[in-house]
Amino acid sequence: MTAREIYGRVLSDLSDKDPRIVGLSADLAKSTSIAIFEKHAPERFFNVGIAEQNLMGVAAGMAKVGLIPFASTFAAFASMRACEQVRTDICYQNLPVKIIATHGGMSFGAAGTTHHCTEDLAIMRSFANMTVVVPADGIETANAVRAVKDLPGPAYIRIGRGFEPPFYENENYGFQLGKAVEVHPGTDLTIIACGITVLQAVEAAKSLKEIDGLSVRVLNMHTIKPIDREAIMKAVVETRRILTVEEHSVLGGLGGAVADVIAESGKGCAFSKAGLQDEYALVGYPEDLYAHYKLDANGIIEQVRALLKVEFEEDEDWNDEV
Amino acid sequence: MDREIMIAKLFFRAAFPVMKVPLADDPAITNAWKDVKATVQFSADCEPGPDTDGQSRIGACLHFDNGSLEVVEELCESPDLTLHFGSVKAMNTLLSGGMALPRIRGGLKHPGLLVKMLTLLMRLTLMLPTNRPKDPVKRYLKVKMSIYMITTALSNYNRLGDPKMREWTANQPDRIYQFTIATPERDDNIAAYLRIRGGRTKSGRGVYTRRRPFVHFRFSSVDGALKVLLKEVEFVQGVESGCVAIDGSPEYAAKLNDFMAVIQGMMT
Repeated sequence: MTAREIYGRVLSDLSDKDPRIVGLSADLAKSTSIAIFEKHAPERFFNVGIAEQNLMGVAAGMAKVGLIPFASTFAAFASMRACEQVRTDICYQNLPVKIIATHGGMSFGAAGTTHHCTEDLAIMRSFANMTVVVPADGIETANAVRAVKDLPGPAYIRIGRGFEPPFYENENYGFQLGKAVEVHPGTDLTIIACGITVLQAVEAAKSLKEIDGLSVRVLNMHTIKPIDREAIMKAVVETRRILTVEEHSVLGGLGGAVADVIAESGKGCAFSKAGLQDEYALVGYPEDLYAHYKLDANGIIEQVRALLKVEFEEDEDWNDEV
Repeated sequence: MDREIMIAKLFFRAAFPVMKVPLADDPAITNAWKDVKATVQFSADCEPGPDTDGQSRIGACLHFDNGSLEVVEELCESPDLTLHFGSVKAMNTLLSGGMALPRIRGGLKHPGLLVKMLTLLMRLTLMLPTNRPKDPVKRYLKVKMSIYMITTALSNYNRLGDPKMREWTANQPDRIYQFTIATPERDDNIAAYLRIRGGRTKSGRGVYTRRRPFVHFRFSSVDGALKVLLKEVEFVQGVESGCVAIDGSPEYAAKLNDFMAVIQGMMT
């Protein structure tokens, strides 16, 4: 099941226990899988049409009268088309609207730059009162949806297009909003990742151990705001080198949040940010784009080697093994 | 390249080397070939042209040496046994499981070698989609041989210049397409890979460890793999039913699957 589908099912389950939950979509119920909730509780589902600003405005109004609205649309529309409504109608009033943004990052691939969303974490992080979560997979999406339901303020959960491979085997790994999860131990360097890059970072860490003998810690920083300062500083002190990896611009997202913490601490460390380097993504299949921007396991391996100045000899044997 | 010549070369380069699998893993075959030192040649008449380096015959020699096998894609001077075909198409027909009669030289002098060779050729037919073995050893062999053959065939389909394959591989950075089949009943899993970089290709056995796979086809078991290979389920159904899981790009996995289907169509 994809993260989107899991979200739809978890929301349906939660709605059985909490009558305050309502669902909203801007004519993308099927694409964002909130249609599962629509089918489950049609009297509590509202399609506002292709009007994302209204989606957020209506959700704010519903929250104002005591409901818990879950508003779903594509990340690009939630964070940019409806930016002002999210800020002023929802965050300014600190209303408990939960925004589930699908097709985040470059996961929309061939749909192009208009549908890519590599700025949303920076935008949402800058809004006061907003909680920002980027789950690593569907299971973590389920945990995140449950965790934000009772938050008194707004939350933004960013997920992908639905083809993302699973990372966790079950939900019992101690998910807690604002608390990073160490998903691979290490002492030479720490990769701080979120979303789909968590799995890639762990795969990279395994390869770096096998091939280069490097001990690389990986933190799943699922909550970008409030960020886990303690885990970041522990990594700075214990591994002295930090690489952040995100499917986002390196400006203002996870890398920016981690850099803020380190700079404010006064501690020094080797530091690098993987992501889009102040540019718009090319148009192509998502996996092509992840590889191009070095966000897949092999790209992360390259960046770790560069940060640690480890030389690596390319394999130039092209004879078929038969 | 002429289609029949290309098919013949795929057999030489991808199917013949797969005989190493039964030579190593099939006790009856291992035993039969353990003390054999001989050269067997497959050849066929053809129109001289650029695809054949101007030669009027193409062929390959199989050098057996006490259980080991080396395949050389050229005619040799004094093979112990020769299976010669009047046309490349006739040779391809036989190798793909059809009926075609070769002229056999050396069969009277080495009748035992001929019988062993025909038995070994029969093992190759395990890879045919119509062959549905019940015996667990043969089911294991079928999967292992098929995966080895298809990865090598994919690599050579590109090397031999198929335009669509060349176009597909041309712009890819260093990428591994990994195939693994879980075989918990044995010590080692079946694994093979195709590596692509900027138009170059390489097939390999086992798990490629220097890079993470771009696409990883993970078959749950020999039985799961067989369901897909025998087309008892379509590939998509195979994913849905848990016979195979795909890590990585679904679009590239689908494209590779398309090429595999094309090659399978050529060789069966």
